[in-house]
Amino acid sequence: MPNSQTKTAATTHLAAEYKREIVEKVAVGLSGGVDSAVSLFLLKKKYPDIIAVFSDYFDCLGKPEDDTSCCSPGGLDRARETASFLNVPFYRMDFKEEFRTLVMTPFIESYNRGFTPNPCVWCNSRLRFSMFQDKLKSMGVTLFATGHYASLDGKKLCRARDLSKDQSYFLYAVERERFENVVFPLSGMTKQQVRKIALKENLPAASSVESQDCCILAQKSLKEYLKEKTGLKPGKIIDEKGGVIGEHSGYQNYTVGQGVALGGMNQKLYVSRILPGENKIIAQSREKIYRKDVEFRFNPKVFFASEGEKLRAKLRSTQKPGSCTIEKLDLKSNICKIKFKEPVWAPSPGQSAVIYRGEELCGGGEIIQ
Amino acid sequence: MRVYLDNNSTTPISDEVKKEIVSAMDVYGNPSSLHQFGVEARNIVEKARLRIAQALGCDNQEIIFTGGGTESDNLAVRGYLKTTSKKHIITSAIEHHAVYNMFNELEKEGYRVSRIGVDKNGILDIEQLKEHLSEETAIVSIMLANNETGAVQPIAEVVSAVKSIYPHIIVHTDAVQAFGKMKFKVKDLGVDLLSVSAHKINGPKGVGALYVRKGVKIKHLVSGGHHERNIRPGTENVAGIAGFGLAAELSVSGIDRNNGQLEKLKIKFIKGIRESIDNITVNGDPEKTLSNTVNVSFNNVEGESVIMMLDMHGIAVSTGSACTSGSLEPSHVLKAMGADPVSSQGSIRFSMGKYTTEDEIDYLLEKLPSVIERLRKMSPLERESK
Repeated sequence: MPNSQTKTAATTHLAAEYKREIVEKVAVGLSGGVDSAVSLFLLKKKYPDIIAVFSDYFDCLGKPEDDTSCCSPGGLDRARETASFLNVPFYRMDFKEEFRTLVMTPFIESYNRGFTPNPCVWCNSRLRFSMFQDKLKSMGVTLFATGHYASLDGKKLCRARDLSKDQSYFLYAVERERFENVVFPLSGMTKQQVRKIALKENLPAASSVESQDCCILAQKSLKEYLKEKTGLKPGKIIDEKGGVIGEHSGYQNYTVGQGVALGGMNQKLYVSRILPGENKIIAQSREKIYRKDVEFRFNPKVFFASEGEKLRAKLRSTQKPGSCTIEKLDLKSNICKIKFKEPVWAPSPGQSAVIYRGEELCGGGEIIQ
Repeated sequence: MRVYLDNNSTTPISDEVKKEIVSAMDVYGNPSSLHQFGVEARNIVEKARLRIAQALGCDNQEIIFTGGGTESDNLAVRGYLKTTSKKHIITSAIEHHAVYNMFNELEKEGYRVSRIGVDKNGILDIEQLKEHLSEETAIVSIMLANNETGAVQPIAEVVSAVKSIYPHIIVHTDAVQAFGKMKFKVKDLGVDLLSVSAHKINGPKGVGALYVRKGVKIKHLVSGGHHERNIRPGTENVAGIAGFGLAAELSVSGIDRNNGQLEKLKIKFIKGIRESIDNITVNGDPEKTLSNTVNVSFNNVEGESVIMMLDMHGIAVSTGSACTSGSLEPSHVLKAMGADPVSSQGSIRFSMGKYTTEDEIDYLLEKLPSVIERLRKMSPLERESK
């Protein structure tokens, strides 16, 4: 009876997690995906006074007004459908302007600096668990839930039980006070369980495809978008000594670690550095892209580790955390240097390095080198 | 308690109208058919046409049925422009998007557009209008009553100002919000073209009409059969039209009674919020706005949050128009009135209807002050201003 097992697991988990004071009003951030839909379903059973809120981030991404393919992100319709199916009041909140200034503009700037940004990290810390949460709070909402796979131990941010789906990486920059009135109903569940519930309950989002890593690009390819926003200029690909070995289509199209196709070379090469000032890319052979040392700039408000500590770290959300040591902690410039035990693949400037002490996410920041 | 105060967006269908629609649905003939099935349907359409003509004070042959107010507006302006080579068109800065966006598009298509401003109460500046009139002007389109503030525009004066100098210029008015809420006859206004819609007067959605003064020529925008005097092809929405006819008759016959009640509630509401909430602006001169509409700016709050919180109490209101709610852009109407962009972020339109009761206004007055107080307490705008 897999279904009843799923249900028991979920219910037990809820009972344990939410023994809180009487909650007057709960808001669930609905994205239109299956995770937030199941979160709403689970919480609705527990809290009668619950609302579902969709935060509208999307602008037309510069598309002309009469282009009917935009302005109707599928998520909105799916979210509304889900709320209506569960008979929960549904609201849409407009964050288009804020999304543009706090996520989109820095996203483009980061690429222009030769970096590879993590817009989801910004979205969570600058919008979702900031202005969005504040707005809900101002309206009397006392508990805020999202469909993230992450756990909370008090205000500590921890990994989700389903490590393959763990999304704590994307939440590292959220100030921990923000989690005081937050629940992640899926923290103890696997994606499989979540899907099962969605199917069993016939939730409209049950069959929705996995949300993309970069929701900004839901409507077009990264290449197309960057071309529009940055005016990509072709340039040279060089080797470590500066010799020209090929052409690139615009440095913003590249990420450290990305393979580059070069005609007439036997060995595949990978981007090791991006030089925006010169519009050049340095490519090297695979083994030279691995690094042991990584530096990142952190925000002290969300950094809870000390020099010399032996921890684990990861540089990509999907990566398995690897053992590392905090070699140097510069508290003046807020730069942390970690040394991995085993070399890690392609630290990409702009991406986030995130460190864990056991299950707890105890710091992170943007990779600078 | 559920309180619906968004009647400028749309209204509930009255029971009488519902019955009229349902019984018309049994008559399934095509009004254009020659057989008796067709004749029965034709009779329904023509009865409704007569009712609307009477409500508007015009001849029944001057009414063209359309698919709604927006279509009527487009048919009026674009339909007329197809008959003339003149390239200058005039509108106001406070039109509903049906006209506002149409003029923006016409501008892109090569027309020269003059947009006439309004005073702080949202009333059209006629002197400014006069300055823009010329031999090259094809059409002037100014709304009769504004959907956001309820401000009633001096259309009769517009018509005489225009026609006394340039009799050839066509005057259109979007009367979608005014119809059934204020007394007027098209002959008294003197306009050439006038748009109305059913769902704003307790009728069904998706039905509208355009008054086309005898002698004024307009051309169809979509191609098809000979329906509606070749101006609006397509089989008529018989049941919807039947409902519209009755809704028009009822709204006009009940106008004094309704407005008497609405006026009382409006005064009570404005007095009530002035007493219980500080830092508010009632937009527009209450003496010169529709009896059902009150537009209020609450300083240092966001309209979106007010809508949501009132909704949590079961009270339905909106910011500007339904077409722009969800957008935090200050409304073009309040902007044109010179309202402060920050305070107009917190502007809310309360629009009552014929079913609005005093109890409902009492309930609103009970909930609104605490909602505003709570939002202000949490508002970054409020913190900055201190």
